[in-house]
Amino acid sequence: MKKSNYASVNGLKIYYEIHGSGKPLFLLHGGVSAGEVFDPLIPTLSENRQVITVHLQAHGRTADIDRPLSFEFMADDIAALMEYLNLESADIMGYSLGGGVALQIAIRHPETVQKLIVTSTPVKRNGWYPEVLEGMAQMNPQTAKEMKQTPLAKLYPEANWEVLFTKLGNLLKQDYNWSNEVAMIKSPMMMIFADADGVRMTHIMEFFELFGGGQQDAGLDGSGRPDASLAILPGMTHYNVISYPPLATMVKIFLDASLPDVKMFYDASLPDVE
Amino acid sequence: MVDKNKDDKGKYANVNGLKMYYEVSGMGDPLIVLHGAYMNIISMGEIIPKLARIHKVYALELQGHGRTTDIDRPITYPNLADDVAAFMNAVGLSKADVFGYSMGAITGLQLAIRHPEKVNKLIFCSGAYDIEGWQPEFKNLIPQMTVEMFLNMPFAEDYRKLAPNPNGFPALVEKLIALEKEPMALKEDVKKLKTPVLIIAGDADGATLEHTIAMFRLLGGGIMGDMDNPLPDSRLAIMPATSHTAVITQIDLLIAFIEPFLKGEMPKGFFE
Repeated sequence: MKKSNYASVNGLKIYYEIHGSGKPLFLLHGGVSAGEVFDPLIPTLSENRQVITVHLQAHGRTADIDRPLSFEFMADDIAALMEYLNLESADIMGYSLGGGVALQIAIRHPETVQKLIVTSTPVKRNGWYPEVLEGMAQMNPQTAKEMKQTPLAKLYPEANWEVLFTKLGNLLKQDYNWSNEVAMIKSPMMMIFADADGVRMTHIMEFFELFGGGQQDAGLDGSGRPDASLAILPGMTHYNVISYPPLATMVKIFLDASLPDVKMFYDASLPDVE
Repeated sequence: MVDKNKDDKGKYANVNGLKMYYEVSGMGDPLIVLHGAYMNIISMGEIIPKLARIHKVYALELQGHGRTTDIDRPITYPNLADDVAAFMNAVGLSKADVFGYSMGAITGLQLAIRHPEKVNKLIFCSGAYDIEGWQPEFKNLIPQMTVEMFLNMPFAEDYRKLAPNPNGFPALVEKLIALEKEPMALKEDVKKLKTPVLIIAGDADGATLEHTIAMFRLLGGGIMGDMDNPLPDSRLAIMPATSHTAVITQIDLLIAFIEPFLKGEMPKGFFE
């Protein structure tokens, strides 16, 4: 059962959908696409929780407003939407651009974030491969025209691709490095990447090291676990990582783990997921 | 020969002077399963029956492990790999996929290096290709290892139940400590490998993440993939919140990693 609606927050008419009921989980999509990118995850994740997909500013069914696109603004929009929905806090999963928004929610509104899942997102701009940065630099009204032939244009007939591409191009041109702020995040975190991601492998290691990852074996009792967990998905790219068949179950196990077990949820015995 | 295995799957092959115990199960393309140090077919757990649903699984017990005899020869990775190659000849397998865990992973790697024609695809689960790749605390422990440290481990009891010589455990420990000290350095060999490899490790495993990623790079991985560029033949899977010993218990995730790799499948994405 899906409920969809618009909420007025921060001058934006933000589109959102709610699937299922229970503990809230926000899913924040990547650049260009919108909430539908999470379709493969929703059936499993909404079995025991309220999954909220959102169309971020200028994406999908949420119209643009006179404000630059920024990770900080989008994070504030989600915090405001939480308030609008009378939610004190929620689990948050973000993919690519939405992963940056998720990190900014944890930085700017830490009290609202329970568990955090960051997928295919760097904590600094040069965490991307140079080819990705080049591609981002080419986002402009000209390249936006190519969108009109794509299935995405059919899915979101109201989207203004020229505006979206111009604003994304401007956002992704700006340098940033959130390493210090990200290292302070207290929410239990899972980071997920593809083995051929757009994020550099070296940066994936740097990101994990911010939480003490990659330093030691967890040991038989799991006491040596880092504060975050890392998944790398084989044979996948930045563009299809969300469609990895076991991903929904992996995310669900992390979200369902009780807090003392959250650092070693895979070490605890798993239910048979077949 | 008395078979201690009740359901008749077990057989013995004469391999390089060893009486090697093995079990064959399932139907499909051949897949050899190699256990970790101090382990055996039983302690590998559910992964073997799960793999046997779609493969013809040859599960082996390596020198001095489980029901396979020990002989007067050190346990080294080249020796173990040559045993697997000789086993394949003995049972008439010219080529197979190989899944190895921990010690079995490194044995599988040596098999692919020394007998490349015998390995179709390799699943390298929780291993290392260089002694420097182990976590610092494990590296520091190796010189201090003594036989006594292992005598009361749970697997010592397993050994007595299965081994042809129930009193042989201290001798096995001695050989496995020597194996840990083997100056393993396979970087150049890994770089030359043509065999597609799926590397699997826990995010807090016995080898450092850096080492695991270095191995992926030696195999042509660690590059960006997109909709136009074909991905490398080798793949990397990291399991979240998973230690060395837990990797082999995550059956569903292992199967999810392994099957698309063996079939050469790529999942489709939102944009395709």
